[in-house]
Amino acid sequence: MGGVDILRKFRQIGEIAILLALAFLVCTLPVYGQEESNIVFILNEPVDVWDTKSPLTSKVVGSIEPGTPALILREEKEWVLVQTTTLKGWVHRLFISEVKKEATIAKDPFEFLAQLSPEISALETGSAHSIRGLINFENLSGSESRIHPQIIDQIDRMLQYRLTPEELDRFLQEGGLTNPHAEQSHN
Amino acid sequence: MPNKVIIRIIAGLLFLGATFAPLPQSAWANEPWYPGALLDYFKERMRNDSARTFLPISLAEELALGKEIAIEINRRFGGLLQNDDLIRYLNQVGMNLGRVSSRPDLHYTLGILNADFINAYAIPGGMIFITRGLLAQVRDESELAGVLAHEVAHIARKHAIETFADERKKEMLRVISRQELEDNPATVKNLYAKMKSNVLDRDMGEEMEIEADQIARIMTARLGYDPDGLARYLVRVSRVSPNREGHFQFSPALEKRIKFLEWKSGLDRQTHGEQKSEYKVLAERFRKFINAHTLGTQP
Repeated sequence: MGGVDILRKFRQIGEIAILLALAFLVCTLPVYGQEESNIVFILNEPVDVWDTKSPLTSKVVGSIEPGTPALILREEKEWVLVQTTTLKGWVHRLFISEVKKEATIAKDPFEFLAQLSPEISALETGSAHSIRGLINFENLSGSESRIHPQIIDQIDRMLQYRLTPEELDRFLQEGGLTNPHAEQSHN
Repeated sequence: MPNKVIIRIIAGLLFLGATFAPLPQSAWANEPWYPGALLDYFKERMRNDSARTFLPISLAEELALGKEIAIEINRRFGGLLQNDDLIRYLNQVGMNLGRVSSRPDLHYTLGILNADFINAYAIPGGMIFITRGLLAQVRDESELAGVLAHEVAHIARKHAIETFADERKKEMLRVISRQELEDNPATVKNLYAKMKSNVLDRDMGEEMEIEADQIARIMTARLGYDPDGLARYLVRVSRVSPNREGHFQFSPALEKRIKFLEWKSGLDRQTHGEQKSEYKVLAERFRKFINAHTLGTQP
């Protein structure tokens, strides 16, 4: 008789465990419908979308126009699986804006994408891909304050400023200075 | 009995499902499950997340950071002085110093900030800014070379960039993943603000400043400039009224730097003998390019 009681208790515990597991599942299921997703925007040019990311077997399944918002489904190295309202496929990371974490998306991602504006801001078209693992610098400074194009132009011109090695050598020679490079080549 | 077995199997499956299902939500939520999805998820997470931020900062990252800071400096201090001859002269001195630095392949490029206070900025990646006010305090080319060599040394030794990398590592220990970083943009912003502040508003730290001075002496001497030029310049600016905006207000190490340079100068003379006459100061050439007229300051 004692053995039967123990079996009954086990059965009750089993049933409670099943109920708890079911309750947990029910609680977690709605999360799938409201999962936060990463949104990207296609950059400057129409981008080919590939059915797989394999270079040998992939086929172009369509193209996405600039400024189109897309959901990121998966990321693998340089390739990103994206979903737009009309198309799903792999695009190269170079052609998308920085990944943006959007607010909670409605159950239907297509509905969410359709609500997004296809316009793309100047900041999002920035070609500088940032330090991996962090966010885009240009976006960061842009969000802090607008930078006058003249300032960026000055910096770009400074970065492009070049003097030839011959001119640098001549400068040293005219000043009667030592030219370690000339010494090295002489030796 | 078979019923019980079935119930147990179902319960087990439900338990496993409930345990693992919520974990890789981002991998499973938008895509049908496929074999190896869980493994892929964790692999991807490891690849994209914090592990990478513990690697040294690459040259591309350094250049991107440098450009960001350069834009900030330019924006904050009123743009660059436009004088082709002056800019060329400055770059002739600075680029020659870059060629004898420990990172000769970096593209060093120099600009003059249209500001009256005395300061210079070494930007990661190779850009150097000096203020019009600083140039007004320099008396000859050996002093100018000393100042520029000090900034080149900061860049070549990656002083700012390594400070930033250390900060980033510390931050990564607190913030586990990239996803969490993206969720908390304030963390990233603070990190960059700190980096900018290190370059813009503060010295690199006494140790790094003195190391840069020491390297500057070696570099200037290697080109035949008087290596004491930097010390002469520092002594002069230490006597300028400290109330002027931006004038070494964050540089309590200045006195120590001068003492170190004087000690090093004495040591070099003892070791190598008196070479003063062989070194160049080039005051005349300096005055030809840098004077009250070209700087637009009062004589």
